[in-house]
Amino acid sequence: MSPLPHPYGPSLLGRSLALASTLSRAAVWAGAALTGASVLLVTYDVVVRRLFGHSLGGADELSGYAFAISVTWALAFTALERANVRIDVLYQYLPTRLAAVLDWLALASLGGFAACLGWYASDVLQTSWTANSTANTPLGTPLWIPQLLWLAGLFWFVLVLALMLLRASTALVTGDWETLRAVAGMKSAVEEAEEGAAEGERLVAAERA
Amino acid sequence: MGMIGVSLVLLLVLLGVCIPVGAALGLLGLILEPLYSSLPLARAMGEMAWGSSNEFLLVAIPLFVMLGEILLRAGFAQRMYEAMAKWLSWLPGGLMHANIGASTVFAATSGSSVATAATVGTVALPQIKRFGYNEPLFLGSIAAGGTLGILIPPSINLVIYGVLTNTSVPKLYLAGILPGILAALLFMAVIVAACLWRPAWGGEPVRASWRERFASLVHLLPPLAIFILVVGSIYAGLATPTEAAALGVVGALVLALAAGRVSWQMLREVAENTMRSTAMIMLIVIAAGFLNFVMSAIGLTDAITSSVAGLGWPPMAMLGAMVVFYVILGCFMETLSMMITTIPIVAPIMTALGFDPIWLGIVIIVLVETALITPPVGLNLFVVQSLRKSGSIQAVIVGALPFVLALFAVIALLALAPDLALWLPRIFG
Amino acid sequence: QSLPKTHLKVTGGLSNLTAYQDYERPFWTKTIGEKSQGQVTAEIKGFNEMGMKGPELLRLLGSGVIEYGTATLSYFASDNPINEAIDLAGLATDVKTARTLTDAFQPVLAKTYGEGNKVKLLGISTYPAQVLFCNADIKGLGDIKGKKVRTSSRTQADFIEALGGTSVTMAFGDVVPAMQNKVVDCAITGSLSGYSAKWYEVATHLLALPVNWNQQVHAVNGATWSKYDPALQKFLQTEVDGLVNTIWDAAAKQTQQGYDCNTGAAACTLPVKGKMVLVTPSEQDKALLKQVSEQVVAKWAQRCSAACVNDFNTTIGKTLGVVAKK
Ligand code: NA
Ligand code: NA
Repeated sequence: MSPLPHPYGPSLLGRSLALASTLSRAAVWAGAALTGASVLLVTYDVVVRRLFGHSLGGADELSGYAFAISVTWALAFTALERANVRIDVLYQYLPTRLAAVLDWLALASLGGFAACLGWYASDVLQTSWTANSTANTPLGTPLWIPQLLWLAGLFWFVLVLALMLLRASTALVTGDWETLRAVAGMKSAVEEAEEGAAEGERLVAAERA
Repeated sequence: MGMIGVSLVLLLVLLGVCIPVGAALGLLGLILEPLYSSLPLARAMGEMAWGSSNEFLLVAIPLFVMLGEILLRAGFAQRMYEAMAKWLSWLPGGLMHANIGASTVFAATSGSSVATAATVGTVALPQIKRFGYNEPLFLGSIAAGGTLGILIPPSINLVIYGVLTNTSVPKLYLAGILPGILAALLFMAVIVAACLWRPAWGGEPVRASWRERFASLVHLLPPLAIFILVVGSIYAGLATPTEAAALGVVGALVLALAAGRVSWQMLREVAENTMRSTAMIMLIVIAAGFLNFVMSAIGLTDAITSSVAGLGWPPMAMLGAMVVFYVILGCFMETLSMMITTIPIVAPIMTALGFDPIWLGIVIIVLVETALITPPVGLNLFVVQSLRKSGSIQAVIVGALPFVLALFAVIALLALAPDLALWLPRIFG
Repeated sequence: QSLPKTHLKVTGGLSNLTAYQDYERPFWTKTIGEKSQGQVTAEIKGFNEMGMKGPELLRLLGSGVIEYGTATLSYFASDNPINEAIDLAGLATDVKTARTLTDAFQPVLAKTYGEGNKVKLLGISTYPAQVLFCNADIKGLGDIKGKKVRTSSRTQADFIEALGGTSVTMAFGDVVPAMQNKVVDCAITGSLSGYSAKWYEVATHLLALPVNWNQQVHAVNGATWSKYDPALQKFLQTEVDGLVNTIWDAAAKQTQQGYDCNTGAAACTLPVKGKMVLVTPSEQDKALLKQVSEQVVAKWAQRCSAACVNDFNTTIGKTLGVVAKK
């Protein structure tokens, strides 16, 4: 169960971030749909291979692309949900302000790494486009197609991280710890307990229904 | 300070200031490049990322996670878990034994430890508060139980070991079964010991009558069907592990439809949870792949491995050195990268000393299992943490430590009685 | 005169194969040092040990991430089909022909790689022959018709399809269970790699007809190379030529060793002997092969540029009497 949209604030930046959040969720659904399509394609391939002795060919290749694309499309959502793993050995003992600075730093580092990744990944697409590269498989897929979609996900990830970082920065400067935590914080134990309990109760209720 | 020391300190600092693990590993690679290399290694990042992103073997990750998510939302995982609970939770430690038991059953349907931990964890987590368990130990039992996924066949990691060392994969699969069961039993022994020592950790007791137990067996049928579909299709040679995972997803969806549990709401939750877990893991896999490349290119991997290989110790001492080596490396490295980088170097050294390659494969897989639950980089710890969505990962780390000791005991037993691994391949191979 | 003190970083081929362990690694870590009186030293790691998949290697060589690199030519077919020219399935059925074709076409590849001084091609060596392992009673090439065959490149797939078989792609590690359970009937790999991976445990028939070779490119980053003193360039080129010659000579022996050991022939010197049936190609097979290889060439010509097809015709085509048409 996903929580309600984060309280990013009524400013233009806050509303942009809320919009980005909605779009990122849509991207996740699209990614999951791609994964579902892989499931069907691979299953069809296995069944047909067994029953009729011939293979569609390329189910592994196509599902590999679908996987790569669905992952980058889901990255922004993962960041917005603050689901990226952080080691909190020190964090939990820190005062609010210092923890807030580390939250900001964590977001900035993630943004920095994502930007590098996006930058070097665009080299990959550029080379494939220039060389007109095609997969060395019977399908001969033009590589720029999956790579473009893959890169689009990375760029969206970077863009969303940039928005988050801007929002976190203004929150840091104005001392708005609550918003900073909503954008970049580690999820608190209270949030965890509420979400976990809600999900557990709902599932148990669903089974008894 | 040498290269190993500098890298270790940098990694600890990056992780210590709470930078997300994926970013920390990637940034470490970017920092090490100018320090130790004259080549523009960073430029490899894009190609490495693309290479590890469209790997068909890795497609098994979202598929097995999705399989678990569907089974969970279809209500089967819950009831299967409850059936295991009825059979096992009279033991001191209650449902924690169900965690291990359910993990063992799931391990036989899942090629990945991540998926095993994710599936069992999703069902088990709500029980902590309900029955008042000691949270760290409970979380640790899920993370540790999940590691069985790569030891009990099918296992993607065993396939990779087989490819890297030219060892028969079917034999490796047979070799993994008994050590897998042994590990599960030792995990349960850890829980019993802990709860005899501190009875409060075991939560409220869960009691079941024999009648209830036998009645609950019917709830094992849906997972059994999936088990036959997934594992059966691999053993019958119908499908590769990734293909079997796809079959499993379809099978689970059919079961869920038959049970009338499929709704848009349910599909949306499956979608979001599957993709969130997958993306979180893949970000680490991509970053670790790049770091691994930089480490190899600057000679850091060699510096680490040569300190082990150059010792010239007798076989058992070398085995000890290998264990220490993998335990240390396993603290920091993503396991597939770790296996792929080290096995081509380590396996020839060890087999030259007279160790059986099949047996060695099982020992290494147990060490990889250990790596999955040792901090700071332990994929199963992260999976359990991601299932909780928040809270302190330290609780998971602390709770997993006793199970690390159990895995060490498995290695010791494997060293004392190699037939634990080699008996089945011998009688069937 | 003494060579300048130089240390090289080499990314080698697949580290678990004999080509790497017996030739490439000792060459860079020992031979080079001895021949240069310790002036030139090198360290080497297989590309797989560095977490790479192979196809990115040429790109990384070009951008200078990698100094020296070795990888299978067919990996680079995705960036440019010209990389398939010397290794089209069915063209070279013995190691001598494979070497002749390689030498004839090497200048064309050297020119292609050298554009913009990106990559300097040092030499092209090979793996042992790629052959068909089948878990099916086959008497010759014609029996591939209707069979499911695991292939690892486009040209192999074209070859199998031209024979009337079905091409299946799957990971190397999946082949043993797949063949055991008849998910595929046959699979193509090096005669010795198939032995090392114990394919003889699940496959019954080995067709002793090289399908293709998986030639290996040995190359260096262009900028790195052009900075070298001419004496150093000459030294390295001479030594790599020597390495390449050694590997080609060994390839013939290893191909035979693969046949011998998979089939348990007395000539096998390795400890474990397989029990596969060795199927030797008949005259009929050779005629079929010629017909099929023409189709393979025609398909390849469709995906390569006009200049590339022309280069093929004036070199390989001339040697073999084959004409590729765009
Ligand atoms: Na398993
Ligand atoms: Na670890």
